[in-house]
Amino acid sequence: MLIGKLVRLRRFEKEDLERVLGWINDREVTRFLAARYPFSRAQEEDWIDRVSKQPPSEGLVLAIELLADSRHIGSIGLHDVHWEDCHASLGIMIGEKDCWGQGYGSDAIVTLLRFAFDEMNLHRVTLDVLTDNDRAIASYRKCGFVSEGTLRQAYYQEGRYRDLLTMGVLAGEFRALHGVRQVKAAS
Amino acid sequence: MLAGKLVRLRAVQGSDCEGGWRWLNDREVTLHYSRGYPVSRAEQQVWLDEASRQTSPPAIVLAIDTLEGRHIGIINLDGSDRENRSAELGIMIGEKDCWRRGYGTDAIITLLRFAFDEINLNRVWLDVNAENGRAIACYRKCGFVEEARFRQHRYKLGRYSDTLIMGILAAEYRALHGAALTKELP
Repeated sequence: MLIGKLVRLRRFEKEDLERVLGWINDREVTRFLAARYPFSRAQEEDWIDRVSKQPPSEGLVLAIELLADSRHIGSIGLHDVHWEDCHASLGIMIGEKDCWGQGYGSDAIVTLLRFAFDEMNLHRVTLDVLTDNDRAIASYRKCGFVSEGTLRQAYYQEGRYRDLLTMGVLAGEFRALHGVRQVKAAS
Repeated sequence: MLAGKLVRLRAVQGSDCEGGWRWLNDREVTLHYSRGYPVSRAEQQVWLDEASRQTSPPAIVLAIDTLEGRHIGIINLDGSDRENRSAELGIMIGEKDCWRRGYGTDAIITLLRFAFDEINLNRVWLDVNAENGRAIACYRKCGFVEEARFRQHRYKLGRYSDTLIMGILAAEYRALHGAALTKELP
């Protein structure tokens, strides 16, 4: 379990199925995600089965829960882990719409990045985001991601090609921004 | 078979194994392509057997032959991104005496023509080590433009180096290399 300031990150369990199935079939939620087709219950069962058993060497997908009331509001993950180059890509979904714009996503990202850099020994984390997803981009910048370029016409949606902003954060940049981990003396 | 000015692109076959095995175990060849783990003939044969069955999307793997029929490299498109009409291009000229002679450029221009005019792709992209000046010059000549720089993306020779993402759109290709030639069929 990874503990942030507002959220905790835990592994997925079978019981999470209904919520995730609802989110992934809600176009308002998936509009900015690389999720194009309707998702069946069977597919969702397979997904939860996979991510709940996945060894960390193949990636890490975690459920986001509020510290305040343990409500499960979304998911976050590290994918495409390259162990020699020490980098991975990050994906996040806040499925509960009343939880948007409250800093939960940023806290989940900072918490996962801390783990990625300080425990998994990754050196770099990346993501792609649609260039008009202003809210997400602002959150990623706050977490320490910087723009590394624009992939032109890389994503097709709603009848047109759209650009993707590609962003990255390095371990040194993260620590400069969010501090080095506090090591508490054992009492 | 796709015919260029200097090369022909054909489906790979099982008998291409020896060349590929030799290239992939030569660090001078693989420095900018792969990790450099040693490759066995058995591994290379498995890869070839699979690649030789993939000559249509999503994955296209073709052998680069000179017009004289010498097998000098491999070129491939990974077009699994169907909805976005986007594919990643990869190329290796394994025979070192064939470097700097325009074979790679011709192979890429030939495959891009096929990608845009026959497969109906809208975008082809690639990544390249930012220190691989020769390759970058070749990609620019083909029409690729730099879209992004992934900082410290690749670890090799004891340090991190940057990776460039380059892309070319169908319209840019046609502006540079002309629209499809429609010859009168005899």
